[in-house]
Formats: sequence, C-alpha cells, structure tokens
Amino acid sequence: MTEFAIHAEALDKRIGQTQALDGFYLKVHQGEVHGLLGPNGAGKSTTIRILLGIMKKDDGPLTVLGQDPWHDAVTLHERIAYVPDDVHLWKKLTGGETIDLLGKLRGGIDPDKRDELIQRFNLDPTKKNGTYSRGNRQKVAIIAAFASNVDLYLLDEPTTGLDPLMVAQLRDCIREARNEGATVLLSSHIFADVEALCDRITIIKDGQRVESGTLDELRHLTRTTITTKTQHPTEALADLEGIHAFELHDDKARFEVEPQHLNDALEHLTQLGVETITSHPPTLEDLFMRHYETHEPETEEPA
Amino acid sequence: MKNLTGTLTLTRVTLRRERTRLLLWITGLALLMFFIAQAAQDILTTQEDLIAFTQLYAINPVFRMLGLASGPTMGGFIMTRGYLIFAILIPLMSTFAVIRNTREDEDKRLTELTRSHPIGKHAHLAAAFTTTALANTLLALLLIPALLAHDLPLTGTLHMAATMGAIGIAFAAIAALAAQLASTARAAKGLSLAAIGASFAIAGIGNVLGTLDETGLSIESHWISWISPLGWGQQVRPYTHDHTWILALFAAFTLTTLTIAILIERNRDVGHALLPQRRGPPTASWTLSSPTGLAWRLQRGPFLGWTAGLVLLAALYGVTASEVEGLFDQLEEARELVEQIGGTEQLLDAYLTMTLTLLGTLVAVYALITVLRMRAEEDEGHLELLLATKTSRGTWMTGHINNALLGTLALLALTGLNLGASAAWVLGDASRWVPLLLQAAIAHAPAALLIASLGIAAYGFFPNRGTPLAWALFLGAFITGPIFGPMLDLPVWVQDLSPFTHSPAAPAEPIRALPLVIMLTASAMLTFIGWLAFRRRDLLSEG
Repeated sequence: MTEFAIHAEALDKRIGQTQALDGFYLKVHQGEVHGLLGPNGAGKSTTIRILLGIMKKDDGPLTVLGQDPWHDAVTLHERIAYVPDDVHLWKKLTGGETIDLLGKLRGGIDPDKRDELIQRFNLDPTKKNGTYSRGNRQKVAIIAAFASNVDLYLLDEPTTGLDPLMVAQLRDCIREARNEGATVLLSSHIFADVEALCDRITIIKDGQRVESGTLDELRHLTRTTITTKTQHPTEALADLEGIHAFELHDDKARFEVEPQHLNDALEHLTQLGVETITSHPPTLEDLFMRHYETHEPETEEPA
Repeated sequence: MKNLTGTLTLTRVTLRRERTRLLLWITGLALLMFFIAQAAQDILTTQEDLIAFTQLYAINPVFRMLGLASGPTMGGFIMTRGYLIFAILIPLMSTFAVIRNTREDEDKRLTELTRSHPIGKHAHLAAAFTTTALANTLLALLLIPALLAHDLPLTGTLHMAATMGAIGIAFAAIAALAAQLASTARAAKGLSLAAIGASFAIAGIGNVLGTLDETGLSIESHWISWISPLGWGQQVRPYTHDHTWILALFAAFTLTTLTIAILIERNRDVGHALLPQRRGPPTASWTLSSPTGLAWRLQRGPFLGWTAGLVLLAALYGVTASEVEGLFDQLEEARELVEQIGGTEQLLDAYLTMTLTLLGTLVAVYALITVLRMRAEEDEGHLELLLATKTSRGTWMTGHINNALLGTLALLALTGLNLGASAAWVLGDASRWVPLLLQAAIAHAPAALLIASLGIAAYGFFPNRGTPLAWALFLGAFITGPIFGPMLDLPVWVQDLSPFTHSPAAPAEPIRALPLVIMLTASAMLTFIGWLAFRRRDLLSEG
C-alpha cells in the first residue's frame, strides 16, 4: 500500500488549443479529505476526469490507489465512487433505478445504506430522472456514490444545487466515509465546504498548483486583517513594510499585515494609543481572492 | 398577439443559427433535381422510351409504390421518378429544422431562459416554423431554374416547385405538432419520421390499389391516397394535369395542424409534454444491471415502434401480392416490358424482391440509429457516469453493438415472417412463402450490419462529426444502391460501392453466400477499427 491515495507530479493535459493542466501537482494522503479549490476553468474537472481514466494525461507520473487510472480503469473503479459536477441522467429511468444501476455497475450496492440515504436526502425514487430538478439529480449521484463502500470518493462540486439542509447531510456522509478510512477528493469553489471538511487543500489556477497544505499551513502564509481605533492619526502605518490594503473609515483604520511583520505593526500601534482593536485570521475566501487577484499581474510581467 | 411577442427577433436568431445548414440542404436538393432531370433527358431520347418508362410506373406495383404515373410527358416522368427522393428528403429537412429550434432547445433548457424574457408563449414555435417555411419557399424558387434549364414548360415547372415547397411546409407543421406531443426531442423526431413514412406508404398503397385509365399510362389512385399529404403532392400531377387547387388543400392542412400545435402549446408547461410523466419503479429490475441491459432499456421504445411499423408495412405489401399477377393479366405487352426490365420472368418474385430491398434498407436505418445512440450517450454525459464505475469501454460498446445486432436480426426476421405469412394468406402455399421470404429477409442483415459498422467507425474516429458523417455515408450507399442506382443510370462500379447492391435479390435470384460473407467480414473489421479508435481517445467533454 502506498502512502498516497492520489499521487500526481507535473501532470500535463492539452485539450484543443488550451493547456488545461500545466505541470500540475496533486498529492492526497490516504484517509484524508482533500479540497481541490479553484475558479471555473482552472482544471478541476479535467483533473478528476484524468484521475478516473476517462481522459488520458499527456505527461507526468500518476497513480491513483497505487494504480494507473488509464490502464487499470476497470479494476480501479470498483474502489472509486464519482459524483460529476453537472449530473446528466437517463430521462426515462427513475431515480431509484439509476441508483441501483450505477451501484451494480460499480460492483455492488448496500441496500440498507441505499434506503437510509434515500431517506436522509429526502428523494422520491419513483420519479423519472427527466422530472428531477438539478439538486435532485445531484442527490441521485450522491446516493449512488455513498451507497457503495469504496476507498476513494471523487466529488466534483457536489454541493452545487443542494439546499443548506442537504449540504449538511452531504457533509455528514463525507465525515462518515472518512471515519471508515476512505479518502475523499472534494473539488469546489465554495469555501465553506472546503473549510468545514478538508484536512488538506490544493489550490489550482490555470492548470497549475498555486499552493497546497493544511488550512493552518496556508493561513501561515497569509495576512491577518486588523481593524483599530487609535487616539493619534494612523496614516503613517500605511508606509510600513508588510502592511497592505490600508483604509480609513471615519476614525477607524483597517489593514492587512503579513505574518512576519505582525509584531512591528503592533509595536507601532501601541504608540498611537489603541482604543479598540479586532483582528481575524484570513478566511479561505480572503486566501482565494488574494491568489486569484494578485497573481494575475505577476504572470503578465515580461520574462 | 402578445403570445407572439419577440417572434421577429427569434426568427432572426433562428435564421442566423440555421443558415448554413439550411442553405446546404436547399442547394443540395436543387442540384439533385437538376441532375435527375438531366438523367431523365439522357435516358429518354425518344417518345417511345418515354411511353415505355411511364408504362413501367403505371403497371409495375413496385414502381407504383414509388411514384404516380400521370401520362407520358418529360416533366411528368421527372416528378414520378424523383418523388421518392424529394418526398422524403424535403420533409426530413423541415422536421429537423423545426424540432432543433423547439423541442431540442427545451430539452437543453434554453427555452426556459429565453422565455424568462418578454417573449410570447408561441414565439419559439412561430420563429422555427417561419424559418423553415422561408427555407422551403427558397427551395421552391431554386427548383424553378433547375427545371427550366431543361426546357420544361413553365406552368408545369411552377406547379412542381410549388408542390415541393408545400410538402416541406406541411411537414414543418407536422413537426411543430410532434414537438408539442412528445416529451423529448428524440421522441418528437421519431413521431415526425413515423408520419413521413406512414404518409409515403399510404400514398403508395393507394397507387398500387388504383386503376389504370384507358391509355395505360396514368393511374387513378384509390381514395386512401387522399388521406396522405404526400399523396396530395402526387395528385397535383405537374406537367400533365396541373391541379392547382390541391395547393389550397396543403394550405388548409398546414393551418389546421399549426393551430392544433398552438392550442396544445398554450396549455402546457415549458419542458413538459401533453401527457404527464408517469412514475416508475423505485428499484432496478435484474435486467437493468449491466451495460447491455441498460442499452436495451434505452432502445426498447424505439425498437417496439420500429417493429410495429415494419410488421404493418410487410403485411400491407404481402396482402397486395395477389394484385400483382392480376394487374398484368390486363396488359400482355406491358407484362413483356416489365419482365425485360425487372430481370426476371416471375413478376411476383420481382415484386417481393423489391419489397424486401426497401424494407431491408429501412432496417439498415434502424441499425445505424441504434449504434449512433452511443454518440448521444457520450454527448449527454451518461457515458462518463458509466465509465466511472467498473464498466469498461469495451463492455459498454459491446452492449450497444449487441443491441444493434440482435435488433437488426429480429426486425428482419419479423419482416420476413410477416411478408411471408400475409403473402401466403392471399396466395396460399404457406410452406413455400414463409421460409422463402424469411430467408430472403435475413439475407439483408450483412448489408445493414455493414452500414452500422460504418457508423461505429465514424463514431470511434470522429466523435464530433461522426453522426453526420455516418448519415452521409448511408445516403451515399442508398443513392448508389439498387433502388436509385439503376434509375440514375450510375456506372456499375459506382453502384458496386453500395453495400445494398450486394444484398441478394432474393427471392428473384438465389442467395449467394460469398458477398454476404465478405460484407460480414468487412463489418467485423470496421467495428474493430472503430473500437480501437474509441479506446484510445478522450471522451467528449463539456468544458
């Protein structure tokens, strides 16, 4: 057994004129919930399709559960469950038939778990797929995935179209799967899902890995936001090293500080006579916005 | 009129979307008309030739199925002979154009988006119909120079062109109605195709059952021809009778059909059909537990529809078999002529052979539609779901191929059995006809399977353009095959390119095994090549 459930190095994939993946790294440890975070078109779905062996990588070593997904697709798929980002189902079949069909084709379904999940997700299995809303089609794919016990779950934006109650159910399913030792790769652009569930995160942009690590590790690389009210004017702070996005609102100042300059900034602040101060660690949202906004101009600089 | 708000804008959008496709159809059809007229003039150089060939259509029941003899004029002969092509292709053009811009957009949920704008309930239907009607009008206008170029009389030419336009517009209305009745684009196309097939068959049967007038060169059709719009097209009889009033019948029919479509659309929800979706089983039965089971489940409805249609057609052709002999007792000279052209002295055998060739071609269409279902499954994202399970590409493809193979054999067997049984019902001697026609029908399987394997190869290599490519190959095989090849006077080597040419002319001639074995081998090879190509390529992705 390898230590990694998914191990990809310098993965390349060209689709038509687009370089969909450009030396992408992805390492997912066994038994963890790993978030794949990126905006639309970053290469999340392409990555998952390559992990499934539906698409063929152009280059780069890749193993999924220790096997080559293109060559060993069939044996591998007994151990993998997949929820696509936009679920298209056979219009003529009912939801219940589809769950059974997909489960059987995966190599078996746990009938008790299936019935329990149908209850939990509040799905009417006698309706034809053609009459389901997007959220209900999503539920069919989710129930089919979690009703079979597999080692790896590949979930491509699974919360899209689900209401908050159903999102909570899905989170429970993911946690239960992890507790039973399964690995989950969860692609999303919804920060709350990733923040709530994931042990580790990989951020992807333009087919490249921007960063990866645990939530704490990524936070370490980021700025703390401080909002404060002082007796003396704070404008001078804006010129200090490591301080960004300085704004004045009435008598309050709001700015971001790089972690290594936090101490200097606080020393300056105390000299100004602090009346109120709040600070908060960056949310994933901040993290994300920073990468996708500030990295843009850098890549445009002439080499 | 607020229900039509936005029609003008949508019509412009539709014209923009459809212009390339429709212009290709229209120019193709006009050129085809030009060449058919050219071929007719090349073959029929004397008045005697013209009379002889018109006689063939007047008295041979098989040719009566295909066109209505109305007297010995050059223009009239072109109409009679070209009718099968135009009366099928023009309605197909209309059907595809209308359904693409109505039900298909609804399936894709595009209509939902556009209807959230200040756009009337019937604007989509109106825009699709208007665009298609404009295309048919343009086609009619282009047919005029295509025919006048051969020095044909103006009045007849105008009637012929107007008839073709009227047929196209009438079937646009039928497609508009089908789009309201069916709950998916696929089902709507199926309904429309059934309407085209039934309409052509009814007109043909009315002609077979009709009576010859005293000249022996014109048929008075049986009244049942008059219940078919494609029958009316023949009854205009351009260049011989020029019945202008029938065009008014087309107008009345089109308006009525369109009105019904609009009444239905007024009362239905977007994305839903007239009939509400029924509930289904909450669990999958044991048959639905493999890729083959799924392929069969998806194809079950269409298969049953095709079975019903073919069984009915075979029965109709079978029970008219006794008329064949009777017809020729009336005219001894004509009998000699037909025997000479038909290539066999047994008129009945010639009739049954031609019937099986027609029905065998229809089964090839079924085989091709069935394998091309794979492309639809991939395009609709279903294949991705399946391949994420332990289903391999091979198992999946095998399921669909099995489905096409068994379906083709079953349809041919049912066709042969029904033709045999119904022919034996009127002719007697069941122990002769049933096995004879069953064998002859099944011998059409290799050609149908070869057509299907061309579809598999096209799909494997060119997932994006595979479907139109496969249909183009089919059309080529159809036109160079035994139904049109000799009529168009194509060189033998061109006719030999068509798989249909190599299907046995049974029961007129004995079945030879060699061509069938060669076609089966070619079919297996093409399937294998298609599979190799499919195995190594990426799936179509939506991103």
